[in-house]
Amino acid sequence: MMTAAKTAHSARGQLRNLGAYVGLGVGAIIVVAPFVWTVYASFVKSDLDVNSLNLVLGRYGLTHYSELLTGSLIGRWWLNSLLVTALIVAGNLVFNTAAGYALARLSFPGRGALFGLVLATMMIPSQVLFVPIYTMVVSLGWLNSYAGLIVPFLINPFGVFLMRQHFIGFPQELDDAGRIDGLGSLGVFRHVALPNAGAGIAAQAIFIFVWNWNTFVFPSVLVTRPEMFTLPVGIYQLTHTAFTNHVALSMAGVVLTTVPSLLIFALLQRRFVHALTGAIKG
Amino acid sequence: MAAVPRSRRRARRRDLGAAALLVGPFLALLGVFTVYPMVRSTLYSFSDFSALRPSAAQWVGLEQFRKVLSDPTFRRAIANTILLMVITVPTQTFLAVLVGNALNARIRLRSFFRAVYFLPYVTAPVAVGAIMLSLFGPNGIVTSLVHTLAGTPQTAWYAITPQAFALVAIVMVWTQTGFFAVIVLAGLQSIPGDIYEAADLDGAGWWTKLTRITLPLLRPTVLLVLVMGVIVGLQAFDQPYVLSTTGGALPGSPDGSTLTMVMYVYTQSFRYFHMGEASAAAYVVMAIILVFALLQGALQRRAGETR
Repeated sequence: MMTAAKTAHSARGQLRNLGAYVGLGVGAIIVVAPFVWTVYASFVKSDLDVNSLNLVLGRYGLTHYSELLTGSLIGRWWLNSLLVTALIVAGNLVFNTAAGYALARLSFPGRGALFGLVLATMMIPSQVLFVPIYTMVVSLGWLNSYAGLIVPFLINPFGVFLMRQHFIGFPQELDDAGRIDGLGSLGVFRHVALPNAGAGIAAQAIFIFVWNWNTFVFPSVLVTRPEMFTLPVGIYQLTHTAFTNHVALSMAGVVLTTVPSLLIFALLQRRFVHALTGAIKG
Repeated sequence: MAAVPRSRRRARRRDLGAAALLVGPFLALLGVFTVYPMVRSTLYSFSDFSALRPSAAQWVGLEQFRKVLSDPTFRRAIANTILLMVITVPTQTFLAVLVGNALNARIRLRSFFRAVYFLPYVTAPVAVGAIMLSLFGPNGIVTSLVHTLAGTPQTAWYAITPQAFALVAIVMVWTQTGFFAVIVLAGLQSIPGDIYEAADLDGAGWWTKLTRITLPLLRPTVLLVLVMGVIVGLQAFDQPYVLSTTGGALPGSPDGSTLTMVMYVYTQSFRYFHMGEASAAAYVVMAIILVFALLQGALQRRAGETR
C-alpha cells in the first residue's frame, strides 16, 4: 500500500514537473527568440529579407560585420567601455570596501552619522544628480574625457552598505587574534578581514560592473565625440541615428556590441545569482 | 569597572587614524559628487538657471515648482509613469512568481533556464530597445503576427497610440521578469523543507501546500519584488527613451504618449537646457518615490501586525 501511494505520488510529481518544463520552455522561447532573430538578421544581406526565412544561401553573408568593423568605431567603443568600467569597478572596490569595513568594525566619533549619510544617499534617485553632475563636469573641463566618465562614479553608497553588512558578520575572535599577533587596526583590515571577504567583494564587483557596463543616461550627455562613446552610447548612435533604416546592419551592430558581454554574463551567472540572493537575504 | 570605558576610549583613539584613512577617500568623493551636487540641484530648483546663460541665473523662489507642476507635459508624464507602473508591476510580479515556482520544481537544467531568464536583464537596455524596434517595426515579425491574429494595423508600434505605450510596457516586463523570478526563487529556497515533509505526512495535496505554506511564507519576498518594481517603474527611462526616439523622434513620441517623469527631467535638462525646471521636476519625482516608499513601509508594518 505504501508503494502504491508512493507511485501515485511520484506520478503526480512528474506531471507537475512536466508542467514546469512546458511553462519554462514557453517562457524561454519568448525570452530567447528576439536574440535568435537578431543574430539571424545580422547575416542577411538585404533588409527586405530579414523577416523571412530564405533558403538561397547567397542572400546571407558577413557584409554588415565587415562594414561595421572597418567603417565604424565599434572597436574603440569596446576599449572605452572596458577601460571606464574597469576603473569604476576598481575604485568602488577599494573605497566602498574600506569605508564599509570602518563602519562595521572600527569605533570612531561620527560613525552613526556617517552610516545615516550612507543610507540617505542610497535613497537619492539618480535623476536628481543629472543636472549638477553635468554642470560640474562641464566646469571641470571634463566633457568628452575619461575623467568625466569615471571620477563621479568611483564610489557607491550601496556598495558601502553591502560591505558593512558583510564585515559585521565576522567573528570578533578573528580581530582579537590579529591584535595579539601585533597588528594595528589597518593591519587587521589588510591581513585578516580582506583575505576573508572574497564573497562580499565578488558580489559588490558584479553589481557595480552590471550597473556601469550598461549605463546610458550619464555617458549620453557627458560625451559627444564618437571616439569617446561607450558601448551603450555607440549602440544608440548606430541604431537610432546612423542606420535607422538599415535593420540588418543595426542588428549586426547589436550583436558585435552585446554578444561578447552576454557570454561573460552566462559564464558568471552562478556567481551573479549568488551575489543577488546573498545581498537580498543579508 | 573603570577599566572598561578607558579601554574603549583607548580603542577609539587607536581606531581613529585607521578610520580616517579608510573612510576619508569615500567621504571626500561622496561629498564632492553626491552631497555637493544635491546642494547645487536644490539651488537650481529655486533659480532660473540655464546652461545656455549660466551667469544670468536669479533666485525665483518656488516659481520653478509652480511652473513644472502646472506644465501639462509634466502632468502627462506623471500620469504615463503611474499608468506604466500600474500595468507592469502586477504583471511582472505574477509572472515572476510563476517562473520562480517552476524553477524551484525538481527539474534538470535549472541553472540553464535561470541563465536564459536572466539574459534580458543583463543586456544593455539600448540594445534591447534596438531589437524590439525592429521586431515591432513597420514590417517587423511581431507587428505582422499581431496584425494577422488580432487585426491591428500593419504599422510600427512605436509610431501609433496606444501601441507605443503597450510596447514600452511589454519591453519592461520582458526585461525585468527574469530578474524578479530569481529573487522569488531565492525566497522559495529559504522556506525550510521539513515544513513540506510535515505537510506530506498530514496528507496535504499540492494545492493545499501552495496556498497554506508556499504563498504565505513567500509574502515578504513578493512584497520586496513589488517595492523594487514600483521604484524601478517610477524611474523608468532607458526603455521608453530608446523606444520613442528612433529616427530622431522627440522623446515620448508619439505625441507624448510614452513620456515618463525621468524623461521629462532629461529633456528639460539636456534638450532645452532648462536646468531650473529640470531640478524642480527631479525633486517632485523624488517626493513621489518617497510617498510610495512610506506607503510601502506602512503596508509592511500592517502586514507584520496581522501575521
